[in-house]
Amino acid sequence: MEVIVSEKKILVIDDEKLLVKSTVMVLGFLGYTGIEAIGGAEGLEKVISESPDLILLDIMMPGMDGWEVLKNLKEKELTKRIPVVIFTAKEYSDGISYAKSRGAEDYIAKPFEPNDLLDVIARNL
Amino acid sequence: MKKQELETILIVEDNLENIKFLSKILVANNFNILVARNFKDILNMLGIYSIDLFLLNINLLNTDGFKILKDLDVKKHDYEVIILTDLEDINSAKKAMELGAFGYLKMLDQKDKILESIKEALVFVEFKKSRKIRIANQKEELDKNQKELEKALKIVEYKKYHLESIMDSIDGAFVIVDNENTIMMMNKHSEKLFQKKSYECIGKHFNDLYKDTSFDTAMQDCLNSLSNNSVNNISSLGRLLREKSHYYLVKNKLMKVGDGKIIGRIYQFIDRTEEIASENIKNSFFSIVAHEFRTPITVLLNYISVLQYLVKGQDKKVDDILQDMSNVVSPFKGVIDNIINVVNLSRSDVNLSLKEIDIEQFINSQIELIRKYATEKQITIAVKSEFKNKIIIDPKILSTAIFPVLKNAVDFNSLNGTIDVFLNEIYKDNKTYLEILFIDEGVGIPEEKLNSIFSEFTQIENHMIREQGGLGLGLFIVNKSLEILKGSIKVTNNSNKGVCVKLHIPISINIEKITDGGNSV
Repeated sequence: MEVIVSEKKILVIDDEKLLVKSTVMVLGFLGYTGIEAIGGAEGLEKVISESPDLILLDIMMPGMDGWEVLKNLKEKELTKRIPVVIFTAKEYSDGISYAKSRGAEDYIAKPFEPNDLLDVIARNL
Repeated sequence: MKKQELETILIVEDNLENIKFLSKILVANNFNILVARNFKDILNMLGIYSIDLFLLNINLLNTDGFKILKDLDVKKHDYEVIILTDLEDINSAKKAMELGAFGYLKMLDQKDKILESIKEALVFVEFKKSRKIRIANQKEELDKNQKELEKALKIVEYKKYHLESIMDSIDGAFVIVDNENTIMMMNKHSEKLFQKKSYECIGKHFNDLYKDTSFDTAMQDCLNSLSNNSVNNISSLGRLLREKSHYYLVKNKLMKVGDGKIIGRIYQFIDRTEEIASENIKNSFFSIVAHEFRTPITVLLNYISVLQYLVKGQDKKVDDILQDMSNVVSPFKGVIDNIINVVNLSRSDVNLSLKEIDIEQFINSQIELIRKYATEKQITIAVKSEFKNKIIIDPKILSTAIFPVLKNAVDFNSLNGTIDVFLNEIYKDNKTYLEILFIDEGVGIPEEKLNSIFSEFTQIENHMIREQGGLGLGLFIVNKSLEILKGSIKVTNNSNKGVCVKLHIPISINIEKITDGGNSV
């Protein structure tokens, strides 16, 4: 099976190791380069060191909260233009406006399927 | 005035000639005569006879006539005294008059004059007697009235006490107001709740109870929300008032008297803190548990698809297994959302947060959420709306009412089927309703099941349908949402195929004030 590796780098930030690992794997098969970051602190480091084209960010993280990470990213000149897609619980019926109101570009609800991921990335890259 | 019997005159005299003289006159005129020489005699006779008039010689030999006069105490008795005096004794006469004598007679007066004086005195005696009776009757009447008043007052006191006891023993705080929202009555629980004494509050406006207290904002929100609900029928469904760490269920009911006239309103505050606390614990638990599934399910879905990518086409058995796994895990997305929705909708403190929305746009955004599934089955969805204006409604609860219906319309539809959504504004019983019709071309629902499909966990037992998964929570969620929105749902089978689901949801353009609070007491 041919896998076309795209130049587009997508950083996955979540506190759950398996979530990060499996999502990065899926991104690989979808044709992107996935980058792992476990937790908000590592996430911020990797943003600087890897310069991703898109960030998938979990909101419900212990320790450094997802909103804090988002705020941090959007405040810095270097990182504020990178599109951020947040993982949400599907309680928000108007998810996109909710995400935007908090500073993100889009949202994807957990649990998600690879197709959902494909759609949201295509929309925002 | 009828003279029942002969009047009795007592002559107090020690001179025999005088006694004879007077007696002759008196006997001739039909009077009873008695004679006494001193006060002791007088007392004896007063004990036996009822005496109307005394003819008293003021200058008795062995007794002080003035003393007798004084002791007779004319003012306090029904008799009168005429004194008999000697010729020149004006001073005695004056003194006697001051002591209460009716008049005086000179022994040498003419018979006629004597008789006239006597008769005058007796008329006065008669008058005194009847006045005494009249006064006694009036007093009796007053006493009777007073007793009845006291009795009535006691009854009122008792009833008031009884009412207060009832109010104090019933669960919760009560405040009773009249039509102008003036406080008429409070029970001791409400005194405790608002930290005020009822005597301070009775007569004041209801707002004064909570103005500038920690209750202020919470009460205003709560009362607004109660009055918003009046757009639909208010029942005794209350609203939760949260003040510091306490939750109170607030209800209000109109008070009507016999002929239906509204005389006021009762506000009831029931402490639900414990129940809410345990409900919150339960809800938190379910929410946490449901949320806990989100990440693991995502991981599973990720790995299943990775495996599918890696081994596709190499081994059919493996392909099938992976596809089955995907099919089984995939629906959990919806299941978790449904559980969360059920939990949220079942809360006692569900509050409507009304927003102005464009209903056509809203429906379209809901359709976008299932677009993927619809496209897979090549189902076309068309929306027709006659709404020009925005409507005021809680969009979150509207979506939980609509989404499962939409999803079902897709899930149970045939391939290449259609779903028609109609949005209408209708008027029913003086109220405006949003009508949403979902018409699909699916399998329809067996007639006998049409009524029961909305109860919890029921789903149509059709093997073909069961394959599509789901717990049946969807329809329960629709039901609960509609309950909160005060709406209704009707499902009928179409004549050819599929189902028509009709939702009616009350909407408002203007939020009305309270006009009717509920049932009569």
